[in-house]
Amino acid sequence: MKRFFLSVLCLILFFQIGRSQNNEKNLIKENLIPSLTSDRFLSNLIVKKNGKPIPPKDLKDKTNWDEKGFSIEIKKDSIKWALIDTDGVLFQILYPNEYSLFYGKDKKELQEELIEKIKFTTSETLQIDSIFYTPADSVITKTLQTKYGILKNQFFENQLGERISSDKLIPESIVNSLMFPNERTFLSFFSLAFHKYGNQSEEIKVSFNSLREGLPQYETWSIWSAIQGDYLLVLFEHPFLNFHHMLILNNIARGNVLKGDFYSFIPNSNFEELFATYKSNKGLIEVNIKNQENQLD
Amino acid sequence: MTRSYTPRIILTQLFLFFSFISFGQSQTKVLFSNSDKGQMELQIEQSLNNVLLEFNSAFKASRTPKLQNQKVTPEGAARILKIWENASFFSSETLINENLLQTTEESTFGKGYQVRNIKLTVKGKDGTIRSKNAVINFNSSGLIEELYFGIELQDYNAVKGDKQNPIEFGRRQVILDVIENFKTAYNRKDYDFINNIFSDNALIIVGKTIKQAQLSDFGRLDQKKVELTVKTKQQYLETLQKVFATNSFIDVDFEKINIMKHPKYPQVYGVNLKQSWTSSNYSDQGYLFLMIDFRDEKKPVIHVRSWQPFKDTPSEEVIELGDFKINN
Repeated sequence: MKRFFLSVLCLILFFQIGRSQNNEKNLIKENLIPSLTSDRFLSNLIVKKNGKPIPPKDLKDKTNWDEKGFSIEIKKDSIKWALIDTDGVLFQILYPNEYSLFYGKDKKELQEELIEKIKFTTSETLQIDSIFYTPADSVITKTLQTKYGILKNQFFENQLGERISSDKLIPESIVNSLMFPNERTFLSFFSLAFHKYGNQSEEIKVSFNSLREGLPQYETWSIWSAIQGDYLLVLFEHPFLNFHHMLILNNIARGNVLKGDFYSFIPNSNFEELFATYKSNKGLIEVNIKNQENQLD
Repeated sequence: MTRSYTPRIILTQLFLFFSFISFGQSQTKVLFSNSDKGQMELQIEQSLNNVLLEFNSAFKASRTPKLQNQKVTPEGAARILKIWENASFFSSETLINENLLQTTEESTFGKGYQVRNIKLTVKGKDGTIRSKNAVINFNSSGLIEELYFGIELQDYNAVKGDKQNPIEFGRRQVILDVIENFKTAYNRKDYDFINNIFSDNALIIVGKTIKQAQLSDFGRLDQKKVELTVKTKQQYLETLQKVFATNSFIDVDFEKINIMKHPKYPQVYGVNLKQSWTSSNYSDQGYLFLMIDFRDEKKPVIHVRSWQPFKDTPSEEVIELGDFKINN
């Protein structure tokens, strides 16, 4: 329930900011109208016209929407639009809360957009920040929330109440930089393998600023992290759509170029058990994973 | 919430209070449980004993620790005294059994040694008392270079099964990513993606509902039964190509994903999920099982895909990882 209210709040904020920053940005033009050309999108819809159900295909290629008179209600598992067309007819459109339906683009297309955005802003902003350390004599973990029993919405301070920013505690400093984007940091950029649809990955250099630029309304995203030795995992959870991006940094060491892996648009509502228990059943089916000769007894 | 935590808080405070009044014993003995007692290990053990004794004495006398005669670098001493200005501390333990860790040049800490989880009772400037775990770093000459209070114990001693292991958690997220790509490939009718992700001799199992007529005392009864057939990758792809060609759109959705790891082959995972298939001229729901091999992390492959009709398959008959005997 709390998450729902937060989501609605974030949504309102999202649209207000979006509109005030750019009057031309319009969700109907950018998201809904392109989606209505897709049969896949239409197959997921429930549509009502003046309160009565109609076949979703009746909306195919419809474009005469009143671009100012609409509302969107986003719940954990559904997205509902209420719209009026230029003839004054009221429509309600309901579909599952799935990022590809909301954006009208699939994972591959969204990944291409995201990587271009990160690369573009990298070229604009890449520069080495001046060194700015805080003493790291002690570490106090401030945990705001936990998730899945392993991830924390957290940041780190020293005994003096200063945020940790130290080359001896790089994972903690990275988390602080992601949590507090407006604070100075000694960290500048890292090398990222951006994993893409089709078992491809693209090596790019990313600054902390450019990564945040890739996540619109960055302050509304939830940042979850887990640290184990020189391994850092960060999830960037979208404020109201059911997906997150994941950043993994490995072998974090003083003097090394930070190298990471980035996975994007991972759904976070379609799994039941991430750690399901293995049960040894009858073992009827033999699979040869080396020579790949399989047989069913 | 307040009620359930209150007794625990009181007990903790009582424990700390008794630690506080009984620390007069002052001496804490450190023994490295993994050490072969070389000269350096013995020196570090002794240095740590001495410095803890000095912390205890300083705390008892309400004074600043005297570190000039201890095996502490000048920088290390300055750091410790800076912490002491804000919070004094002592050890109430009589015996500390911990591992002496060696840190490499490339590590975050530089070349040297490290001891973690040294339990100290810390008194803040405002009088609050807390139990915290300290980390002490030694340089390669065995001198104390740094003391700081580490992240909570459970973060470093976390490997109590996969559920508490961030690396394993990350792997499961990568599996969700692969599954999402797999789903996207069907929606895009991306034949090449599907061709590439299946291993050359992948096992494809397809369940089909058949009706069996049976005679009983009450007459003729129709019973539904799911018959499994095996196809080669080539046969499956040929069928799929026809499906792609004859449907203007395909909408595949996955839900209720369960991921399990093979106990003998930890890079082989089984994924069970419920698949909903909608296309221009056909729709169904089924149990989907995939065996995914991550031995090449950059290029995971699917060795097994099984599909069983949702409606007619009892849950105990759903194919899963434990049904397979893997030969490698």
